[in-house]
Amino acid sequence: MSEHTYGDRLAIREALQQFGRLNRPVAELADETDLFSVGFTSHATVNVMLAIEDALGIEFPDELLNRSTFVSIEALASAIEISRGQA
Amino acid sequence: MARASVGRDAKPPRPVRIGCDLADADAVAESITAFGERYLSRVYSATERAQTGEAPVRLAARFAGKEAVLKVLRNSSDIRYDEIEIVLDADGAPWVRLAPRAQQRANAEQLGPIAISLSHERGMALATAVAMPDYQPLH
Repeated sequence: MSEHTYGDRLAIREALQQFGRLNRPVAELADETDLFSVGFTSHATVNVMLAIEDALGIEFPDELLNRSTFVSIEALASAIEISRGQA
Repeated sequence: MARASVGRDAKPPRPVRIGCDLADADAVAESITAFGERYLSRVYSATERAQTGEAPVRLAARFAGKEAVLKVLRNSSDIRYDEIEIVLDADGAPWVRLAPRAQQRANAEQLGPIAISLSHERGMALATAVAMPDYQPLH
């Protein structure tokens, strides 16, 4: 795992911890855990997205603002990579 | 008296599409506090913001409305919140205004106009959206 990817996943986990309103501690979740199965709501996805943008200085492109982007930490990390590629 | 019958090969009518959603005004207030304009402009239109006065419980009702409409549209995970507007008519009744991409999705599903109802109490907002399938507009 690259240093970049590690930092991204840390930022994702911090955003989820602060704004995800999940019903399980983020530390217990695997990168592949379905976040919607642990209480993630559509409204909380907006906050998590904005928190990640703030932390990493990126902006998610409109085409990534859909449910599949937020389904897991893994999916969010992929979306961040795509966002950087489009910057 | 002859009874209406449905042939074995006849396509049964599709049921009415219905979607509902619940949103928490506290969560909306938290978003406004944390992200302010960035949150408001990514989710709500200028009309929605003006008509709600940006009151969290009213915005929560609009958010629930957008989610309810997404459920009616189905297969709509690529439609953004700002492509669905919940606006008030001159009588104060809410109705749904779709941006072109969302309208194309509704057309592809042969849905008629989407009706919406909103309610809120004790900090929770509820929305229900309904549309008729196999809609044939009158000319």
